Order: sequence, then C-alpha cells, then structure tokens
Amino acid sequence: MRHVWVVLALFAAVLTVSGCGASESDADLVVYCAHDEVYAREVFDAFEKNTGIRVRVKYDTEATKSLGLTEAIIAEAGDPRCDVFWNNQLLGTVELKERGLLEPYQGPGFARIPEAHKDPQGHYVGFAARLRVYALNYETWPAAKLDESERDAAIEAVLNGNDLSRVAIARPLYGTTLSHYAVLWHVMGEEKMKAWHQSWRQRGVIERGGNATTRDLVAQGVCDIGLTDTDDFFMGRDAGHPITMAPIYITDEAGRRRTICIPNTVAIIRGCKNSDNARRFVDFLLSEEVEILLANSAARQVPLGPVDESRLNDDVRLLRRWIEDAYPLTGLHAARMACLEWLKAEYVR
Amino acid sequence: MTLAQECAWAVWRGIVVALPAVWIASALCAVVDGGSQKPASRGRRVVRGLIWAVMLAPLLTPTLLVAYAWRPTALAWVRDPAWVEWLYRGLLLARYAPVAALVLLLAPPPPVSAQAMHAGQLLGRRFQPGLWWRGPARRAIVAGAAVFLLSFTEFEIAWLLDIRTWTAVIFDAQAARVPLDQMLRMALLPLACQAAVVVPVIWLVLCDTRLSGQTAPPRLRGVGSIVTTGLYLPVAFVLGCGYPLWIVAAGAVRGLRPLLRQDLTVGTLQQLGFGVRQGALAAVAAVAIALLLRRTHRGAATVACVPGLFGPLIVGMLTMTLFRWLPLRGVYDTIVPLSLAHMVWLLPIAVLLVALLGPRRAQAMHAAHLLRQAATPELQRCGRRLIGHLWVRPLIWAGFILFCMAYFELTATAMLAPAGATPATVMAYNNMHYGQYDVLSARVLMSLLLALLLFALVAAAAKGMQRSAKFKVQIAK
Repeated sequence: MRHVWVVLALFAAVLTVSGCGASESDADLVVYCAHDEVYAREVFDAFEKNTGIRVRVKYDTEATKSLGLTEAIIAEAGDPRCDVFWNNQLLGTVELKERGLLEPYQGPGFARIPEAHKDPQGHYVGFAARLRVYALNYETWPAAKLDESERDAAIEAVLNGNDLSRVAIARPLYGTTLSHYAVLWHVMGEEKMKAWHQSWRQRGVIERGGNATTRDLVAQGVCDIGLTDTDDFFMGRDAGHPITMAPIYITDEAGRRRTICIPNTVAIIRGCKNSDNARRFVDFLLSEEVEILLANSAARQVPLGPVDESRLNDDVRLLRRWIEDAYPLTGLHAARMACLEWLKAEYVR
Repeated sequence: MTLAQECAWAVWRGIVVALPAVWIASALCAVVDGGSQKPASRGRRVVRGLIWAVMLAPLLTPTLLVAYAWRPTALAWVRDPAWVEWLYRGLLLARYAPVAALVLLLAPPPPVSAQAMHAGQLLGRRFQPGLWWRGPARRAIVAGAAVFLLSFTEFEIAWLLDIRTWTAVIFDAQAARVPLDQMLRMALLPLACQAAVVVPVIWLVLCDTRLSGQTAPPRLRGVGSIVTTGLYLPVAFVLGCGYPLWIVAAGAVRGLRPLLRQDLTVGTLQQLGFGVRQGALAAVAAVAIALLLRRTHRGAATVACVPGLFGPLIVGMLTMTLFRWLPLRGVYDTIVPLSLAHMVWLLPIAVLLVALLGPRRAQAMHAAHLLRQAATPELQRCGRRLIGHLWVRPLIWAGFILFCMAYFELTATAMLAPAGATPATVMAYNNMHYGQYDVLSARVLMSLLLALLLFALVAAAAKGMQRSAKFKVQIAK
C-alpha cells in the first residue's frame, strides 16, 4: 500500500507546484481570442509590456474558429470567466450582444473606428479586417494573369459552368465561410441561397475543412480557384506558391457590386471580473499602433480607422481600396442564425 | 453522409484494419518472441531488439507528426477519396498492428491450453467452438477488439486528412453549436457500437479467469511469418514514423533559426511547460488509481476502465458537461477538468500497464515478503526496500508511457485546457491547419525533443534506482 501513497503524494506535489487551483482569479485580465495565436501573441506581449497587466489568453481552434469561444461565453453567462472577447469575426459577437452578454464601452478606440464597423452603443467595435477573396493558381489556370475585368469575367464563366470540380470552398458550418453564407442568405433570400448551394454541390465543388485547406488545394494545383480569406492567401503566397487573388463580389439589393469585409471585433463581457483592465485592453487594441502592427504582420489585416498610410505595405493599401465597397455586416444577425440552423440540418445529421 | 452512415463506415474501417492487424501481429510475435527456451546469442538479441524498435516506432510516433506529414498527400488526392481512405487505413494499420502484437504477447494465457485443444481433437471432434473460444481465439479476439476500438475512435489524423468519420460529425456538431445534450444523444450511437465490442470482450476475459499455464501466444509459423514481417515492417515504419520524422526534421532544419530569432518566446516555453504539467498530472493520477484498483474486485476495476475506452472526444465532452454543472463550476477553468478527462481516458491503459509491467518475478517478491517478516529490523527494512524497488522501475515506465500519451493528446486538451494554459502540442496542431511550414516543423520537433529528453531522464532515473537497489541489497546481505 505504501507505493500508492507515494504516488498520491507525488500527484499532490505536482498539483501544488503547477497551481491547479489557479484560475482566472490570479490573472489581471482574461481574454478569449479567436484570432490566430501566431499574430495575436505579439499584441498581447506589447500590451503586457506597456501596462504591466498580466493577460491570460484562451485561444480557439482553427476548426471551430470563433464559434467555440462564442459558445463558451454563452455557457458561462451566469458566471463569466472571460473579460474581453477578441473575435476574428463580427457576426458571433453580434449574437452575444443580442443575448445581452456584452457591456457597452465607448473609449478613445471607439471614437476612431468608422460607424459602419461598430455598434452604435459600443457593445462591440470592429478593427483590422480581412476580405473574402478568390485564390487563383496562375500556373494551372492562366486566366488568373489577365487584367482585372477579364479575370473577373473568366471567374464568373467558371463558376457559372457545369463543372466546379476545380473550385474549392471551406465547409460553411463555421468560420468566415459561414459569414459569407450569411451575406448571401441576406442578399439572395432563403430559397435562392439554398438552390445556389445545392447547385454548387451538384456541379462538383470541392468542400473541405477550412479556408487554409482551400488555399492549399489551389496552391498545390489540385484546384484552380478557391474561396478563402486574405490572411490565408498571403500565407500561401509568402510560402512561394504560384497563386494570386481577386476579391469576391456580391451584387446587393441595389445592383451594386460589394466586397465582403470581415473585421476583428472586440467586446467586454457583461459582469466580468476585471472591467478596468478590460477597458484598457480594448483601448489598446483599437489604437492606430495595433492596427498598423496587424497590418504589417504576415496576415496583412486591413486597418479600419485612420492610420498613417506611409506605414502600410502595398498589399494592405490595395485591400484598403477594396473595403470601401464592403457590404455592411452589422444587420445580418438574423440571417446568420437562420443560415446556421439550415446548415446544421444539412451537415450534422 | 448521416451520423449513422459515418458510424457504419467507421465500423467497417475498424474491421478492415483489425483483421489484418491480428494476422500481422501473429507473424510479428513469431519473429520478436521466437518462443525458444534456449538463451539467444548476442547477435540474435540485437536483431530482435532492432525489430522491436522498428515495430513499435509507428505506435510511439505522435499522431501530430503523422497527420502533419501526410496532409499534403491527402489534399493532392482530393479527387480520389478512395486513395485517401486507403492511406488512412494504412496509417491505422501501421500504428495499431503493434498494439495487437503486444496484446498477443503480454495478455494472460487463455484457460484452455494447446494441449487441451489437442486432447479434444483426439477425442473425436475436429472443431469445438467452445474450446476454441476459450482457447487460442481468446487473445486474438482481445487483440482485434483493441485495434478496432483504437481505429474506431481515432480523430486527429482523420481530421487533418479530412476523412469523414463519426468523430468529425460530432466535432462539427460542437463547432456548429448543437446543444451539448443533443450532441451527447448523437454520441449514443457510436457509444453503442463501441459497447458492442467492449462488453463481449470484458465478458470473455472475466468469464473464465483460470489460467492454463500455457504462455506462448498464437503465432504464424514458418516462412509465412518472416515474409509477412519482412513486408510489413519497412512499409509500416516508413508510413507511420520514417516519413513523418523526415518531413518534420527537414522543415525544422530550415525553421530553427527563425524560430530561435523571433518565435521562441517565454510564452512558447510556457506552452511546453503546460504540456509537461498536464501530462505529468494525468499520468500520476492514472497510475495511482490503477494501483488502487489492483486491490479491488476485478469486475469493479473493469467497470472503472470502461469510460476511458470511448476515446478522448467523448470523455472530453462529458467532462465539459460535468464541470459546467453549477456545483463544479468553481474549478471549471482550471486544469482539474482536463486532468480528470485524461485520467479517465488513460485508466484502462494504466491498469493494463500496471498489470503487465508490475513485478513479474514472483520468487523475488516472495523473498522480499519473507524478508519483511524476518525477525531482525534490518532484514525487515531490506525487505521493504526490495518490494519498493521491484515496483518503482515498472511504475516509472508505466508513468512515462502514460505521460507521453497525455502530452500528445489533442482532442480533450483543445476542449478543456484552461485560459492561458494551452499546451504547445495543441497550438502546433491548430497551426497545422495552415499547412506545412518550416517554423511550425521546428516547433513540432521541439515538442518531440522535449518528450525524448524526458525519456532520457526517466531511463537514467530508472537505471540509477535499479543500481542503488542492487547495491543496498548486497550491503544488507
């Protein structure tokens, strides 16, 4: 029996040394972060260095992007563990606002972000955006090298053709593809949207896990066209793959061509334990410095507030022009929820 | 496909992997065990050791590396899903055939010996299902069931290779915010599939615990075993270990400099530390419970092991539900839920390891117990020390194996790791969805090297303890 006690004593020792009881209570700030750790870590390091506030971060997984953390915040509503939610999308955050889980805050950061990208009461604020784009392999599909209008026409021709077996898209249950679907649901209406989805599947579109997989399918030449995000595209191009991009346009109710711009959002959780520090972090995240930091990262996230353009790279300057035509996402909560319910019935049976 | 169809497909896949795995395992047993009573020559021992190492390498290679290495191939074959399916089955076979071999070699002998079977045949009946069931088939069935369960519940490789299976459907449900109670109801079907295998096997093991004294496992005899082993080992090694290690090492060579220059921060080291901590906690807890269960009724121990057989995905989901329940919310965002989930998942393996690796030298244990009851206090001390040392080394190795399993486990860890304490392996797995790149390869290699470093430390500690034990016993003599 002695060895059992030795092992149990060892367990207790490891438990004590590792601080098993330590939860968010010993941190100065708890942030749930859906943005990729490789890019976000630098921001957290800078914040800790500037303020001395210790931050504990819970990251999401690539597969469940943002929905996992949104779900966690909803589940923890009675006893919130999270102080600040840094979402890499907008629509999940809007849902939290609709459920009354966010605390309004209008600090200096709120003031510098344009109206189109924030909640008027300050429940959430958008910043550093991505765009939905087509990744195009110019070796397997030479039309990718044509000038803009001819290239867009060539893309249209492929997408309207009978065979989509060289076109890839992420599974739309989560991530920015879900936001993309929510926009289409809003613009096309339920019936047309469902018909469009079925038509794509019938014509053999390749559906895989996430946007990075879609990018890889194009980068490897398995597909010619993939619907993905700018950050995934840039990662592939930086790795030396023969890919270029074109913005995904949708035609809105007024017949105007619009891009799909998906900002990061930040929000303070109602009833959080470290609200002062949460406010300081939100101000920091919405500052020009952080938007420039994220713009010059490998993800090339597009600043939404005013910034010194000379400090931006050429890629981001181009994307800044594209987001001027972006479709407004803030009113899409109902469309997203309806779309998600339908997708659940389609994919999770 | 619906969940029911995915389940049916996963059952079929499990059978397709388990049957050849048992056949290959019987060939491997013949080669690695030999069965000869004579002591082997030094050269033969070295060759046998090498075969053991090559055989176990795919099993010990973390799924993280395997999935990372083969992902681009699976993407390149996206229009040929049958090829991707066969690649996946090949990886499962390479990984789990050694499990079948270990079960065949180490499981207790069946109650009906080969002599009894032969006597039965002499009595006139060529094939007697009852004897066969309780005789040679028993270990093969247990081995096949183990491979089936492991293949059926596999998730990490399937997810990165984009193989549709029931685990992926449940994960999609989680991602799409299907309510937890509904998701657990969905999980009943795969649970029933697993129970359909687990329950008969437990019954088979428990219904007749008398031992025949026959120790040799079923073996494929003659040239067949050599040909099978000769074909299987190189292919399995390349699929399950060689190619993944080569991909990671090649990328890591290029990625090490940028990693050390910009990406290796205190945070990265902390993430490595979190992995070590949660692995150590789970391993120590599992060993402790396994030791306690050793003293309880065999049926109770078996029942305690059943939840772990359902795999980390189901165990993780149930643990999450449990700790969102009001009385336990206080420890929800700590390492307690994750440690508990890992402990539950590891318990069957811990019980098995404690049974298999525990003191096997009955005479030595008997002598140690006699010493403990001796008249002089010095001899009693010596006896107690001997018992301790007969236990310590196996427990260290059992603990280390369990540590590695928890350290490289990704599914439950991704679900339950508390804020600010996500281990490096989960971070690396998360980044693997972006494809292969050099810095990531270097990060993965770093996680692996840390485990290897700990392995070296554990090996040195175990060796040191054994020497010290021998020395003390000699002094006492």
